[in-house]
Amino acid sequence: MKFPDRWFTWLTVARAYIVWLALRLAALYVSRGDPSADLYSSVLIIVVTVLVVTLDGRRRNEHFFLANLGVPLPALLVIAALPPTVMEIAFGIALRAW
Amino acid sequence: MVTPVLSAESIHKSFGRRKVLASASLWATPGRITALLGANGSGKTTLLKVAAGWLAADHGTVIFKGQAFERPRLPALANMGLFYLPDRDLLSFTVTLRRHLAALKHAFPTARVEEAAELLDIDHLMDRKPKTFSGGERRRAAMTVALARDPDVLLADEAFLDAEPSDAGPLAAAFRALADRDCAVVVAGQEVRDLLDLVDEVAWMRAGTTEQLGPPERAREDADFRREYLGERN
Repeated sequence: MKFPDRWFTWLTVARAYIVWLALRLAALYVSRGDPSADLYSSVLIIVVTVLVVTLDGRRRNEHFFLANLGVPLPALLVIAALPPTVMEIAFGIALRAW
Repeated sequence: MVTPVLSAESIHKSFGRRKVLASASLWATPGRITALLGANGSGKTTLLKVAAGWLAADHGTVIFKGQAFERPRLPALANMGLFYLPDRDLLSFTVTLRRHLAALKHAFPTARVEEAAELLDIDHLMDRKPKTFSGGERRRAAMTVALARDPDVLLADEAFLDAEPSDAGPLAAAFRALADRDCAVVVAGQEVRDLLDLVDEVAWMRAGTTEQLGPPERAREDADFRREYLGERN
């Protein structure tokens, strides 16, 4: 599977971190400060993050441009899924330690 | 006769109950520029999207470099040497042209970036984002990427989209430069006079199907084409 160059990868990763953070803060607000990192909420946050980042990439024409460079959508989905997955694992570990 | 490098054959496509393509076909021949002409809504964009692997056909086959695809995908065709210039912006509006060209060079190290930038006179736009470009500059920037890619097939929808008269010359020169490198070029658009002066072959789309009219001079002699598409009375 072909991946984009460093700049376009970094853009996707940065957006995924921002969206993940926004969703986590929203979840914290909804749960009135009671953090939860169960599997269901973690998977939901990862899926929503990937969805938002993917739609944003489409809106910015990036997917179309990258498709012309031979980069398939699954490669972009993997890049978008990595930051929220890493952060959810770290968040779960931090909660347990706390 | 030169064998087409890309052909989309007997393509059928409907959106709901609306039939857009009914056994439409498209051939792209190395070293030749083919114009795909037709009224708005005749199915040009749909046919190009299917041929580029951006839209799935209901029926029909796309053959690229001898390989038949029932459901082609643009990234796979792009890796084999196809480039698709859509009827809207190609470039991300928040990333500079230089970054786009660097990504192209990363994906295809043989990309001819400097040569393309020079031909399309785009050096002054390199560090700007496409959202700050004029319509014509956006098209020239997109064409720079296509030319630098040095593809085997270029499918260009609305070839002169938003182009000012001063942009038409460099764009036409870029299409011709690609054809001279043995690239098969297919251009669609409504700028009939510009396109007929540029191309080697004409395909006419009407009622969801295609008719091969041959060279432009023969197309100009076709009575139906002149009456129905060019709107000439005699």
